[in-house]
Amino acid sequence: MTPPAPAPARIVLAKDDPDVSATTNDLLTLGGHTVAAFASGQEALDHLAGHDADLLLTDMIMPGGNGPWLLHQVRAAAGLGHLPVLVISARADEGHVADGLRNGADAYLTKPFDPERLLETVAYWVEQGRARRGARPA
Amino acid sequence: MSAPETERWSWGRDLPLTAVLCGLAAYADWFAPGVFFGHSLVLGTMFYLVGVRLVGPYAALAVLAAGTATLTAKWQQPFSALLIALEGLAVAGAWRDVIRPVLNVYGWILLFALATAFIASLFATWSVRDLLAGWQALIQFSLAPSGHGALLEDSSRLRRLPLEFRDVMRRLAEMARRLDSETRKREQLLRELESRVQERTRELEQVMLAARSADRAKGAFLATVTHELRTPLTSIITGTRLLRMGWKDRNDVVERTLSTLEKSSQVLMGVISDVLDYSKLESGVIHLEVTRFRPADILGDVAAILEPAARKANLELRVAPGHPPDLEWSGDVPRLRQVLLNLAGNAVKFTNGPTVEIASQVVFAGDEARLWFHVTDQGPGIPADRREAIFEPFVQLETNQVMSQAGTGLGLSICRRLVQAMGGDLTLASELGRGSRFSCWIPREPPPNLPRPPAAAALQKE
Repeated sequence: MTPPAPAPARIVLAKDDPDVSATTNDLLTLGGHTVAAFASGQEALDHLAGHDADLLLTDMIMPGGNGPWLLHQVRAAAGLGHLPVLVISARADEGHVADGLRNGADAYLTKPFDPERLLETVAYWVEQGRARRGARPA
Repeated sequence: MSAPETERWSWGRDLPLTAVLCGLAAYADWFAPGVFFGHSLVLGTMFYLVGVRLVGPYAALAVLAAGTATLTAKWQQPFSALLIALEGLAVAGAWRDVIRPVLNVYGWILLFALATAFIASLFATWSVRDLLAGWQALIQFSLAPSGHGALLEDSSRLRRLPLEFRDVMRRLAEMARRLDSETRKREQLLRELESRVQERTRELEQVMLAARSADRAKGAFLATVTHELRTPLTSIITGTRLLRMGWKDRNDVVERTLSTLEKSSQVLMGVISDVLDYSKLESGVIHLEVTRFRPADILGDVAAILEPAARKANLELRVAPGHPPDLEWSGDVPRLRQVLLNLAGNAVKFTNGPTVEIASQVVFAGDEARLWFHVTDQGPGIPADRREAIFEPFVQLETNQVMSQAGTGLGLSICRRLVQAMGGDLTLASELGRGSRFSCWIPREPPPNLPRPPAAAALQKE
């Protein structure tokens, strides 16, 4: 079993659960991406302000800046409009999914997710993000 | 109906009329000489008065006419008044001789018919008046809203009515009385029914409210359990896939992933056993295995299990049995250990004070001996308004604790229910900034029939 064709990307990961964060981090790293992992929305936002990123992967429920808050901040920030945002949450009911999408998420994955599906989704949205960035000269 | 009005004598109407009638009578006397004038006057007046009093003015005129006719007949000059009238109409004198014999023959017959009609009308009028008055009284009586019996006794007008009417009225009054009492009974029944309906409605509302809150609690339970299951499952699925992805040369990744797999499996196991425990306690099917044991041993077990975690958290774990070490007691040892592990584990996990103490003592409450366990920490304490809430399922203090570390939020709820199932209770004393003390006690012998947990009983009732 081989990972999908690597499209190396810089990914910011906001997740509070250390185990899930570690395995996701490893998965993305082995998928060829560079991962910066944070345990809260605030830390992830601080990182995004200073570093270029191709994709943001965030949890919904976190202490110190939860998913909806982070989404809102990212969508409001000047230079981050193109940034694809993927939400991964254990909240699987439709209300929460709709909430995530309404808050500006590009995709919503529920835990437990299929690792290959995650890599495919990440690859797809990294491409989309790059296209968006190309279309709108920053 | 104004029949009674005609009975009254009216000077303005009756005096002139009487005078005219008397005049007519006098004229008739003059027409039939030989009759005393005053006689006619008295008779005419009497006729009229009697007529007016009895049958009203128009009938009185008829009476008078009949009286006049009687008088003229008596003096062999029938219809003298009619003849006068004909003369007054200037009928030729020749006609007088033609008419008079005819009148003389038929006059008697006519007179007899008139008298009969008068007497009949007198009787008829009298009877109809009585009937009308009776009907009128009957209608008024039946329209009266209440108190028919009293009306019948009190009303002088009703008492003057013919016997038949009074009889009918008495029966009516009796019927009305029965109806009244029936109506009162029915009204009372209606009021009772109404109040019962209101009572039932209130009960129903309460039950519905309880059902709705139970429903919400069930929804929250499912959402939380789902969340608690999904998080470790994510690590397990992703970790397993990582290991299968052929990166086995990366020993650090493999090692880390394996440890994550182990931890996540344990978390999953903990969540599942919590949920199972909670469901059992909720439905009241928990079964206690009662054995003899030494409380001091349990304290030692708990301390030994928690020692590594305490050392890691820089806590001193102190065990203080407040009774002879060989004291024996009865109870479900694994369950008791589970409760103490949970309480002391919370203290180790959530506080950073210098010590956590697990103490035990025997206290006599009346004739009853109780074995107390106290778990005391020097953590931040629990606010007064949250001290009961933390025993509710899924309630955790507002903390920055990571959810998977904090657990399902079922622990304290399970502990309290377990201790209650053993016949004891679990309480909390806490002081903000000073620390908390969870205390639980069990009786010397657990109850033979396990009391149903109140929530389960309430659920069943709904």
